[in-house]
Amino acid sequence: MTAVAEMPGDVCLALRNVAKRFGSLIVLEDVSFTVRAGERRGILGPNGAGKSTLFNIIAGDIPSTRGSVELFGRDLTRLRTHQRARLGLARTFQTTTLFPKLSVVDNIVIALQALSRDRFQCLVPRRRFTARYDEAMALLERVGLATRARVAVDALGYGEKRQIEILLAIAQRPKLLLLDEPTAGLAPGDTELVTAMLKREDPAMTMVVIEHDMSVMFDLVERLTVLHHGRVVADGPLAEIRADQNVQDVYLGGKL
Amino acid sequence: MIDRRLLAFGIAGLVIALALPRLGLPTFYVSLLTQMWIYATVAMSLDLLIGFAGLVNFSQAAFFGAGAYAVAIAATRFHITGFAEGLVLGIIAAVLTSAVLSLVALRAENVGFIIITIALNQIMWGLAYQWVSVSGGDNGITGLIRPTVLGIDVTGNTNYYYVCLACYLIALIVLLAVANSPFGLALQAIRETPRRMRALGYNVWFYRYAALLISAAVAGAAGVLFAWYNQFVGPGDLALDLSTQILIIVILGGIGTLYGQLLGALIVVFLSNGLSSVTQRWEFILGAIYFIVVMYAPDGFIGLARRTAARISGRRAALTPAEPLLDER
Repeated sequence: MTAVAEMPGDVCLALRNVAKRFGSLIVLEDVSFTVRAGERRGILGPNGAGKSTLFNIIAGDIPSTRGSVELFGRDLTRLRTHQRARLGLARTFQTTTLFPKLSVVDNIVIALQALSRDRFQCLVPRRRFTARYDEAMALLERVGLATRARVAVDALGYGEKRQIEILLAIAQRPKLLLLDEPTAGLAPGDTELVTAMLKREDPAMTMVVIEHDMSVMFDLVERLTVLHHGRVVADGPLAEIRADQNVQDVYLGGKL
Repeated sequence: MIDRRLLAFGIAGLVIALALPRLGLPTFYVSLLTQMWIYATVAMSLDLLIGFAGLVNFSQAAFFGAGAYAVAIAATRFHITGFAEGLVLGIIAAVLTSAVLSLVALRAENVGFIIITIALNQIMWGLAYQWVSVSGGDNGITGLIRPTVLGIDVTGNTNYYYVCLACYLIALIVLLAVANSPFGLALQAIRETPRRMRALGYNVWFYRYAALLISAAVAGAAGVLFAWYNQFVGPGDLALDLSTQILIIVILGGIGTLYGQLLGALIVVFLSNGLSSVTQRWEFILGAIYFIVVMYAPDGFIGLARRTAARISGRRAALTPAEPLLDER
């Protein structure tokens, strides 16, 4: 079950024997799986299973102790976080990680200009880049936040912040999007908004989602990888995992 | 960033600044105001780091002093005494100093960065103090002569006042442009949340390094002006004391405003000179004022003025925490 499964289509993300130790604490052990291009993959596991650590390793925030990460066949292991982002890897954070004192539209503009050459432009006023601001406004309109464009992100409600959190990543049109508990702490209405927002995205965009809300997970993803104590204990299509007694024991408590 | 009222204030201020030396102001005050332009310039350069990049740099005087020493050494040893040459040499020296020091300082973040910059400033001071054959040690370098600027003799206080005013204005325009550019926006975002910036694909280290180089260029220019102003350069021009004083000017004026540092410089220059003629304990009073500002007006005198103005015009300042960056459509 833990072997790298052979699947048709382009492989977007491949993890090979990834391990992470903090001192004597083993957080991840021999994690291997692949995600096809365009796939929607869920990562399931109880608290402390190593899900967020896995995301941090894929994104380059922390180095792995062993093993490699590949994006479309390219080895990312030695690349720094920003270099991985430039290859088309975007992520959201479990705790909202925005620029609180800057306006909502500037938050989006920062995401948009990140991949353009004039991100180093230091003498032309940024207001001149009207196309970029227009694009940011269009993105905000899509999630119904255009009227809040000039407000500081600080002043937004939690649900709105979570939407911006995701919008920042989506704005970059990444090839691979890592979503760390996108609906964490959201009211049911907001959860639906976020789920709908993700489902509307380009089907070519590969997504890997960590999520504790099972209804969201089952709505979003096609395949699940289950982590337990830092190991992959199950990996397969949704229906298969739902029926897996082992998974129900470690995570779902038989309630499914 | 620049609203109409602020622009009106600026123009009025500029007219007053241009007129002041011609209105029979005693030379002593013209000289103090000249100091104010220089201090304001170097404080603005630090504000780019603190207010925008979020780098609390305690070695700003090292950049300032590098400029001052460069022009002094060039003039006294190599007889390079031109205005443009001096300014360019000073800027190059400051940028090179920053290029080396910042490599070390950026090994750390936050408090670590502060402590390393304190140490680096102390090293630079030690270098100036002890490398007597180059720097003249404690005696410094004397005998500097102010160059002619565009064929105009600026040995007189009034003319030199205008030179420093012009340099201040150029520095202000450059730094405002940087702050309002895509690069400046990225700096502010790095100040807020560097982790997200990395995840978005920004090379955070490079942005910080670039900000330190730009800041050093402006600080170095101010250092050159200061060397010509005093016609002397000594270890005090790159001492940690001076770095602290520049920091105080930044905070008094209002962090993240750039133009606010002029007010901070005005207060510090006049208080330190005015009070020191009245009492030996002037530093104590300056310290008390600094304390009160940090406690009750952490956004500096510019913030205080903004809030007062907003109260007078009946609006709540807290209503618009984010600066409007787009024209209404």
